[in-house]
Amino acid sequence: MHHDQRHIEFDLFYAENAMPAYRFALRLSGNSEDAEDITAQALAKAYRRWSQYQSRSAPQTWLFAIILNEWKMHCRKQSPKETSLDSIHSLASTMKFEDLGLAEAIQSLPQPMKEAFLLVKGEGLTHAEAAKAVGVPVGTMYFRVHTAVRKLRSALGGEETREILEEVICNHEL
Amino acid sequence: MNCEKVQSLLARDLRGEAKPDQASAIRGHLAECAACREWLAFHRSLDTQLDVPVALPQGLEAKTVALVLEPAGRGAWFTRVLGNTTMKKLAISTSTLAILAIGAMTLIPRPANASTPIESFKKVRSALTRSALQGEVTVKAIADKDGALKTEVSVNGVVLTDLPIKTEVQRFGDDLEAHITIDLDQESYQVIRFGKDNKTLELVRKNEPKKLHKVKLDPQTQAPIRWSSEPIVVEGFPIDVNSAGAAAKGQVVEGFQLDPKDIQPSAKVVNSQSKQILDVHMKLKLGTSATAKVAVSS
Repeated sequence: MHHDQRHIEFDLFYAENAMPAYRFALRLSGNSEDAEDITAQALAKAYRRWSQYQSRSAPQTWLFAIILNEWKMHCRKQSPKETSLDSIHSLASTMKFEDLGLAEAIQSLPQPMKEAFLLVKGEGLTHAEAAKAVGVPVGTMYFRVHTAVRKLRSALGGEETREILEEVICNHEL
Repeated sequence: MNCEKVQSLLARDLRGEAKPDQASAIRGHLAECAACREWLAFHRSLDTQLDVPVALPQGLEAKTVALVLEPAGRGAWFTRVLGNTTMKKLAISTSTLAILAIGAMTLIPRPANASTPIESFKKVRSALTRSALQGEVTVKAIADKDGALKTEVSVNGVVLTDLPIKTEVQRFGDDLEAHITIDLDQESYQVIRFGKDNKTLELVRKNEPKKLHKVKLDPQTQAPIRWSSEPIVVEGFPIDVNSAGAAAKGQVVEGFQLDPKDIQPSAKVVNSQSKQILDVHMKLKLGTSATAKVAVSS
């Protein structure tokens, strides 16, 4: 590793951001190899633009937005490498107490809710920061996070969740 | 504050994002509600489970450094591409298109009032209430000979096809009594959200969790646009609520008792301050139709 000023700055940047970035990517992808690729791409892109992000509030918001983007590009280029059971184990390995039931429930969330849940509950972003990262109104983020928690609770035996099974046009007939 | 509301606010409260009055109400509710305390415990267990560091792969830093240093390779790419005449023309025309596209995008106006789903919902409710105040909401009931009832609600002659409207019917021999309710109380919904591209508002009522209702929104203002359909033809006995003696003074109507033997169409309106309900009561015979104009005088 070089020891000039630029690389000292990179070292500091990497030390602060690599772990949350990788953790988020791993929970999103459920695959350590994919997560490593996505994280490296995202960190490199974020580092090149870091001076402009630093001037804004919550610069990590932009890092997570880049990770989401890299994940979506990654999904378009190639299909996931591992089976869903491996994904569940990968996700469970990021928890304090490996809970396969919780990991499976998180993995089963619809993608927008999973992203919202992982950003707010997993990475500690505020709803407003998460909404910026995803590019939705904050009200949408409130809804997604709450619905995700509700689904998880239901999946883990907490309570019944009412599911919207189909879309219907409002019908005035009996 | 009820349990549904408290539970929906817990994630925000735990992040310190709840408003002071909300936070206070949540504390008060939690002190008395074991079910919501369980919800809070579940939230905290999720935080505990997820707020842990993970070990980084050994090769991650080297990979990242290699990508950060990659810009040195871009010069070679430009030379390869722009040294080729055909590629140069393509690159220039592509960049021209890109500039034009960016220019076009900046000319497209952004929504004047970007709002949350709740704000849009309130605009829908306000639009319907205003229409009712002006006497523009018309309710039509059509009964076939077998007792099946079809109802239509229109605003200013345009049928509302996307608003959740509930109809209950009782049959007394050849007479039908229909209760048609347009309930726009925010507390009645478990889902209020924007649809795809923020062009619709999607609503799911708590007592009809399997139905998704959509209201079309103006993309600029995110208020309801004119509900569009063929204008209805008024038939039967049009009733002006005011002339039937059921006028409301902005509050619950002191309604008259409906006699199942009375075949005349009738209507009453409930429009209390805490709820936004337009409730129309219709009576008609099998094989006939009736309309009522909903109006609330203040």
